[in-house]
Amino acid sequence: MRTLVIEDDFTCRLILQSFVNSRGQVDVAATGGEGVVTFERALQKGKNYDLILLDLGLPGLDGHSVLSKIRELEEAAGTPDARRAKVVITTSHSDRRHVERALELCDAYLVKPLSKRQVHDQLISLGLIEAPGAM
Amino acid sequence: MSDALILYGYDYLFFVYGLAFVFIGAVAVAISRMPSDRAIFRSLALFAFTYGLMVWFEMSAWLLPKGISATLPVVLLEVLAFISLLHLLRSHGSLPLRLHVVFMAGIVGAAALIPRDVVALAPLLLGGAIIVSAFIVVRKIPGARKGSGPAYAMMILGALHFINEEAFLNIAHVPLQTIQVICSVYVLGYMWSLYQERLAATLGVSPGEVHSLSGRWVAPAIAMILLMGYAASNWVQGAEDESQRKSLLTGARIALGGIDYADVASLTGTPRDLTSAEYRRLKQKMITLRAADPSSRFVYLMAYKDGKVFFMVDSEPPSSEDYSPPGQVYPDASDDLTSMFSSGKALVEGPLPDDWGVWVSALTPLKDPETGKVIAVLGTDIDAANWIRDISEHRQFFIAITTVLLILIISIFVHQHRSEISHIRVSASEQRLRKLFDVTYDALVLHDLDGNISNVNGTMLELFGLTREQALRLKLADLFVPESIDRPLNSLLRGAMDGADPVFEGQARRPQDGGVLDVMVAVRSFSDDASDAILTCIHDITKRKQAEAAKSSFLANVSHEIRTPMNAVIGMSDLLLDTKLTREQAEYANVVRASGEHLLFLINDLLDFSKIEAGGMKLDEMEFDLFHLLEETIDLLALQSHKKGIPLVSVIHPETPVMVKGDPGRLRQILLNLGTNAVKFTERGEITITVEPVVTAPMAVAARAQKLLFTVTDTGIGIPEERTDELFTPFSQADAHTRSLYGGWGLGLSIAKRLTEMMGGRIGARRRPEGGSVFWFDAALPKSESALADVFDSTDLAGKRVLIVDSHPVRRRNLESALAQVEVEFDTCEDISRAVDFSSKTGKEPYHAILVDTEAVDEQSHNLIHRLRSSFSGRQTRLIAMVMLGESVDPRTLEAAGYSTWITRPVKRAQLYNALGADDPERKYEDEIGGAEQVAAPHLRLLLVEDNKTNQLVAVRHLEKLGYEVEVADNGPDALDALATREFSAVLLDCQMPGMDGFEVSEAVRDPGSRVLNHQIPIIAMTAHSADDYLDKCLAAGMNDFVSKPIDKQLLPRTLEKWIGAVFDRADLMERLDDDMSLAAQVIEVFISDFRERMALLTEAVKSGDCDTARREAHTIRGAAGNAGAKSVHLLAERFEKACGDPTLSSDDLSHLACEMESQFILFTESSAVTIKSADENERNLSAEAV
Repeated sequence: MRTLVIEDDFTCRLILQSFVNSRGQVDVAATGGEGVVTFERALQKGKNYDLILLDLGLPGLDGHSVLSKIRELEEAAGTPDARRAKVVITTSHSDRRHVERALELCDAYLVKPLSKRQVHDQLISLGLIEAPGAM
Repeated sequence: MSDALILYGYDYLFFVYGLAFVFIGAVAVAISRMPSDRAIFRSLALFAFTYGLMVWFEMSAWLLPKGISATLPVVLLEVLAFISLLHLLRSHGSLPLRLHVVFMAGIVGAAALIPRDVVALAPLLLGGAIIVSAFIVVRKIPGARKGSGPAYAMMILGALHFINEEAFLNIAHVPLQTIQVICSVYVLGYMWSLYQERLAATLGVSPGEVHSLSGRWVAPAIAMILLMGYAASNWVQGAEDESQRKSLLTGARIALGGIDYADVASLTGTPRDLTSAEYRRLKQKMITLRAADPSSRFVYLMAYKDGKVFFMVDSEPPSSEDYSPPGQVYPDASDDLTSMFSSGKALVEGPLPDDWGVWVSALTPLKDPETGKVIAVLGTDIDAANWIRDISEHRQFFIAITTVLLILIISIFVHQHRSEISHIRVSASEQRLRKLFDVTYDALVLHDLDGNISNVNGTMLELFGLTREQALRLKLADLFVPESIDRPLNSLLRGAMDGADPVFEGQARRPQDGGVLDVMVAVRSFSDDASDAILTCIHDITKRKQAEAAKSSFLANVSHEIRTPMNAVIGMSDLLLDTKLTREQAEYANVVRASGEHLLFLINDLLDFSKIEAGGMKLDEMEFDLFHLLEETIDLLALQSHKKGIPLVSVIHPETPVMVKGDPGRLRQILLNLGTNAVKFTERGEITITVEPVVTAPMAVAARAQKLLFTVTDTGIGIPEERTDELFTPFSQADAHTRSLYGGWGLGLSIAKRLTEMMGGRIGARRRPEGGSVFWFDAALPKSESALADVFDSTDLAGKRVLIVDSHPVRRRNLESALAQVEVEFDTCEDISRAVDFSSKTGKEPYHAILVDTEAVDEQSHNLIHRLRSSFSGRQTRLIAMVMLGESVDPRTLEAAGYSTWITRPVKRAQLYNALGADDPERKYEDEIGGAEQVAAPHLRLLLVEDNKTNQLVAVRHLEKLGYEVEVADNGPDALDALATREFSAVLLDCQMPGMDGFEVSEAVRDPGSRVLNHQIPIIAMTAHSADDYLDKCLAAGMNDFVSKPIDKQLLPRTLEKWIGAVFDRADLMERLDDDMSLAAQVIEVFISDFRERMALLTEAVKSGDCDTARREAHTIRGAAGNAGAKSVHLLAERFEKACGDPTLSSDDLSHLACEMESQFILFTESSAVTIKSADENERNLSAEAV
């Protein structure tokens, strides 16, 4: 599983990275722009990300813009639905309205602070990882 | 003694000589009564007496009737004197016993073999012995004057035995006896001075004092009597002599009348006369005359011619040797005889010794009737023996009188001397006593019942700096500082008169300079029939007191020095206990900690002892959990005894109160002491500790002063019955051997004794007939009035059923009583096989739990455990193992054996109840006490403000269980002090307190002007009132929240979390990060390092009114705080973020919020520090493992 973490806050990056780095390669981007570039490069190489953990409150290019850019790039590349990246929005706003806008394009959202169990449960429900013990 | 000597009066010399020796003997007897050289002087006395008697015997030989010889007794006395000399040599040590025997045998042998010679030999032997003895012994007798003078005198005396006295007299013209008398008197003088000297030494007085005794008259008196005796005997001798001569002359004249003048005139005086008839007639006449007087020896006629005296006729026949033919010249003719021929005067000559003996010659002139011319002298020689005896008899009569006089004089002297000596003795001992009185270290004061001083000793004068006159003007009370004496002086004096002999310590005052002394005073009745007197002895103990003070300060210093590292040991084990530990590690760490505390107690022993000695020991009076204390103590002891392989069981009577009032530290000290001793002195068997209430007093009294009896029974070496008292005196152990074997300083029991006495109890020990000993003590530990809110979840346990499997009857009983206390039903059995029976037979509802003593389970019965387990499978029966404390436990083995969990033995009630109450089936071996509970609230320090001790105890217990660190303040001001100096996470505040109440405290905290460090600190009220009434009042006073009393175990942690967990929600963080410690640490560290920067920007923005920047920073902080679990910062950041958009709030409000955020941040850094630290340690451990 290849994961891209787009997160401006160092701590959050650290936490998210540590949550998923046992599951495969994790790349990180500190800004929205960086995230889009990283994603595009990977797409060109054919090394698609399975999971993108995206902070909504990014400075500059915000999370919503990044999300729509990503989806545009995938569209342009003609990526099949199954191979499209699962995008999980992370946000410190518990207010649902805040994320509603992104909900169409993303697969799930998590409210900060994040817990490992929370993240894992989400990944399981997205079918990215297997539930432990579920044979 | 030669007869002739008597005529010269020499018998008197003999008398004096003998007398001198008798005196020497007497003095020697007197000396022999003194302590030194007794045997020597006894022998000397014997010798002197026998010698003196011998001399006197020789002198008195004349008085014996004819034919009785004085030789035998004299020789006997000589031999006796000789033997006594040998004895003298032996007592002196210069003659070995063997040689002594040989000497004696030699003497006896010599006497038997040559009896005739012994007579001659005896004096010589004796003389030799005297010389030798004098040389060896007398010379060396210790004395002021050297013994060599007398020794030489004695040697001379001895040497004189070898000299013929007559020959000596002829040569020296001085009788031998003169020298003997001089020498013996000299020796006597020496002996006398020796006696005086030794007497002085014995009496302990100066020799001068003995010299000055009134006995000086005796020597002149003796001399005078002797002189008078001498004169008298001489006078009587003269008188006797005269009358004897007269009667001789009378006889001679009568004889002369029978002689025919013509016949005599016809003789020529030549041998031619032999043929003449006249000659024959005259010869016949002479023979007739001689025959008439048997005492006459010769009768003869002598004539004088040409200057020569010659014989004319004698009474001897011509055949006799003594026959003098006519004309034979008489060569020995004296001048008197010669002149008689011209003077014609009759005379008695003699007594003269000549070749034939001692003779008296009566010479009568035969005159020519016409011319009157003397033509011849008729001589009659008479044997002088009778004559001398007569004289001697008369002399010795006077000597006897002299002796009687002497005896009289001596008796008077001895009597006087003795009385004087006893006087000296008395006065000397009086003087010594007086001196003793004066020089004794104690100041002595003699006074009457009113304290009027009548006599004092020198020490008193010195001690109090007084003169005797000053002292005698004082009263006893003037000498003391009244406040320093615990009883009034008067009553003490009266006590002394009644024989109470009071002794007390206090302070004395020097009346002159006001100086104060520490003294110990003994008051004794000194009364006699005449008056009531009291002797007060004042012993100066100032120096001792100073030394004691120095000693205690030394002890204090030493104990401080030892305490410092000990605190580190205890503190570090405390910290260790805060870290994540396995149960086993936690148990061990607990023991380390408890032992460290015990060691401190031991050190305190020393201080305690000196404190008790000084009467400075005070006991605490507080409420405490007796069970907790007992279990803790017994745990410690059990660990010790288990190491020796001795089981230790404790039985706590079910009626023993849980909460009591007393001094827990001291009680623990006594118990530990007795218990440790029991462990120390027991090699096999077991130790039993029991606690039970003493039921003696009536109920009413018992409720107040309830006494508990503690016994410690062991099966050790025991103590001899007669030494049980000794055990409790300081510094004594049963015996030196025991001490060397087991060590220890023997203070413990004596401290225990004093402590129990202070607790209103007694302590004792007795020997158990079956071996070992029982130490017991009781103490008044009244049940605490205030009921303790139960710390344990015991209510859940009521009605549950438990099966106890324990092989030890006492332990079983103990478990039973523990279970009975929380109303748990129970069955008991001894071993596991019975347990199986039990469980299968019983038709009742299943057991909630089965407590299994692991000792009751051996290898073979392991499968029984399985059976037991399986017989309950499906039901909710839990198997709980009871494992000896300190035994290493392998949880997997236990799990494999089917146990649900385990507890340590000796069983602690709390542990037991918890184990029974734990319904969580997951709570198994991996439980990490400490780790699980305590880190949850890491080092959050709470301030508990509570005046009631019991409530304090309960609250502290609860809070500590929740993992908080609690500081207790007894009242409001203390609380404010604590808050002003130290950081706390929250305050738990009792509303009702005497003095400053909770509301005032709260207001003071919130007052920005108070010294309190954190005015925003969460304050949680504690009150027995219901929340409805009080909540508003509390909030109005600035408090944050409210908990009711008794404390709700569920509510308290929740309330606390609400306010304290608000700072650092570690549980949340760890959960989110899936217990990834290092990640958590990293997150926290990033947050901390980032925060200040963000905060600086935020503050700047607030100042400049840049709301957007401020909000953005607050948002960032909020996110980061949320990530790091900095809950309060998170919330504040959120509030700030909102406030930025609120136009009603001023920038002051914002900066206030910012300040609060910062202070919360500081709290967060403190709270999270432990997490970071333990993460670091984990990391280090991991990397160490990796290497």
